[in-house]
Parts: sequence; C-alpha cells; structure tokens
Amino acid sequence: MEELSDSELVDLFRKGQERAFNLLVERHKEKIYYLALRMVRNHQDALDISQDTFLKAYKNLKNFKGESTFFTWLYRIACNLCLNFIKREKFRSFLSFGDLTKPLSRPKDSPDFSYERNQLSEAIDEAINHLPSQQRIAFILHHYEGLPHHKIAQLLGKKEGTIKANYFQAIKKLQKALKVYA
Amino acid sequence: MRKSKQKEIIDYLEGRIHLEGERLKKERQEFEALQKILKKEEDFQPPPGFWISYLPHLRRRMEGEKRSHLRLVPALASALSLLIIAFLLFHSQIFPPNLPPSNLKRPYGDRELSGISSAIDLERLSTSLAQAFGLNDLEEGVAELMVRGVDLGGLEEEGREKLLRVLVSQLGDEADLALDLLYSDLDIDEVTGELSVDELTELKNQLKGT
Repeated sequence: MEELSDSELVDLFRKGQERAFNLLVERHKEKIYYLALRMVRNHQDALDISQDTFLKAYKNLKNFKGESTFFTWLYRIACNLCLNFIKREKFRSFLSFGDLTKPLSRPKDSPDFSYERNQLSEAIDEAINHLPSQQRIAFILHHYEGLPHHKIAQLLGKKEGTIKANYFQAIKKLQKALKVYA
Repeated sequence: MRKSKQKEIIDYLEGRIHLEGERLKKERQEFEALQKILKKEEDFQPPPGFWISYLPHLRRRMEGEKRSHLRLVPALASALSLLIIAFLLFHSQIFPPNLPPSNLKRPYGDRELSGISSAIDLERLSTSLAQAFGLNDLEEGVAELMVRGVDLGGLEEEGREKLLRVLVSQLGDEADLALDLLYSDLDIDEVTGELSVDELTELKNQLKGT
C-alpha cells in the first residue's frame, strides 16, 4: 500500500480501509507539523494544530471533491487552523487586557520538553509573534515554506497584490525589530 | 506607502523587475541584511521520540471523537424528554387543568406575558440543551448571546472599534464569550489581522479610558 499515490489512498479510505489514512498521516505529518511550528513558534501548540488538521481531514475526507490535490487540501486546513489560533490568542490577550508585549502563544511547552534557543532565535520568534496574522502567514509561507506569492494567494483566497503587500509590511516590521542584530 | 508601491518593491527585491534609485538601493541592503539574520536562526527540533508517538496519539484522539458522537444519541433522547417536560410544565401553567381555556385569567397582559415567558424559556432551553448535549463553551456562548438578543449583524456594520467597544461593555468580564461570539459569527480579520500588537494595545487603552 505504501507505493500508492495520495489519491489512491483517499479512495481506499473512502471504501473503508482505515490503514490508508494512517499512511496519509505518515506521509504528510512532518510538513504539517513544521508549518504549524513556524507559525505558532511553540511545540505543544504546533502538535495540537497539526493533529487537529488530520482530525478535520479524517472527518471530512468523505466530502473531499478532489478539486485540488489531497496535500493542498490538507495544507489549506492547516493554514486556516494556524490563522484561527493566532487570531484567537491575540484577541484573547486583548479582551483579557493581558500583556500584549509577551509572545502570543501560550507559554506551555510540555513540562518535560522546552526549546533552548539562542538569543537571536528567540528575538526572531518574538518579532514574528508580533506580526499581525495576515502578514505572518504571508511571510512564513514565502520565506520558510518557499511558496511563490501567487500560490499563497490561491491557497488563502486572496489577491496576489495583497499577499505581496502583507509580505512587504512583515519584512519592514522584522527589519525594525531585528536591526540590533544586523 | 501605497499597496501598489509595496508590491513593486517586492518584485524588485526578488528580481522580477528592474528599478533604479538610491531609495531602492537602501531597500535592497536592508532586505539582504534581514535575510542574513534569518539564516542564522536555529532550526526547531521536536522532542526525541515525538514522531514515533505521533500516529498512536492521533488515533487515540480519533477514537475519542467517535465515542463522543456515539454519546450524542442518548443525549438527544434526554434533550427531547426535557423539551417535552418543559412544554408540559409551561402549558399547564398557562392553562391550569381545572379551568377551561375560556375562563383563564392571565396575571399579565398578553404582550407582557409573551415577552417574559419567551426569555425565560429560551434561557431554560439553552441551559437544558447545553447540559444534555455537553455543549462546548463556544456553543454555550452562542446560545447565551441568542438569549441576550445581541444583534451581531448590526454591530459589524458599525465598524470594528465600535464593535469591540460594544462587546466589551455589554459582556463585561465575559471575555471568552465575546471572543467566541466574534469568532463564530464575525470575520475578525478586520479586527486582528490588520492590526499590529502596538495598534491593538493603543485600541485597548482607548477602550479602557472610555
């Protein structure tokens, strides 16, 4: 079964073969996890988002129309979940009148695991955490994921010009935040 | 700077168009400096053993989801029973069984009675349903807002600042409820997607001052 394409595995899953879905997870889990990790900069949140992505796919795969590839569909789900997460966290801080200068993701890497990153990497995390969600996703998908602007626009249902403007604003803010390291 | 100019600068920085000028030269230097900084960032690495436990963990969550769906069937039956009981109780209060409807003396005028009963019933109904179905916070929040009769569509038209002001003042400390409401019914892109943290802080301070 390992040598089958994604669309063949989707067909098998629809016919009741649960193992086909396991293979789809094994095939794409790293890409989805790292996308989430780059977006939310926190292992535990990235784990939750990546698993929520597969759960959502599992529940909705029977309705998947095949208008895009399975991976594009899955990636779009992950992007939307990341955006929702960021908005929710930021808005939660806002409404609770919490300290908005702190990173937006919850400080809750699992107790037995936390990143030890150098000062520069932490500064980058913080600068990215301060970007508004649309600017953040335009930056992450282009800079880290290597997607061209028109693909990002297609994925997020926005105009290419808007994505480029968001990317521009993101790099301006990052330049300002990180200028001491230049 | 206009969006069209920003787009043009990105095309220039990424080599799709050729432009000249001192300002652009400076843009390029700053862009390259940022790329150099970002290249020095350490890679994220998940904890050891993470990938081995990934699928079993996901499978457990999938099984949990299936079980929660199965639990909905008895919950639905309970909710239906509650509805029937609530209907019978409510019905017997308006039409006491020892009096025929034509002899009924209503303690309130028609308008007043219908206003009070519908609000109480809606609240009871939303609470009973929430308990019977084990609704999550979001669904409870929506049910509660429905009871309060907040006109979300109207609020959205008033603009984002007004929207926030009204929600915060109406819902007070129920920040999560306000969040869930916004989240479920409104496009909050406008509220959060376009604002930086500093802009949000400023808006927050404005709201606190009013």
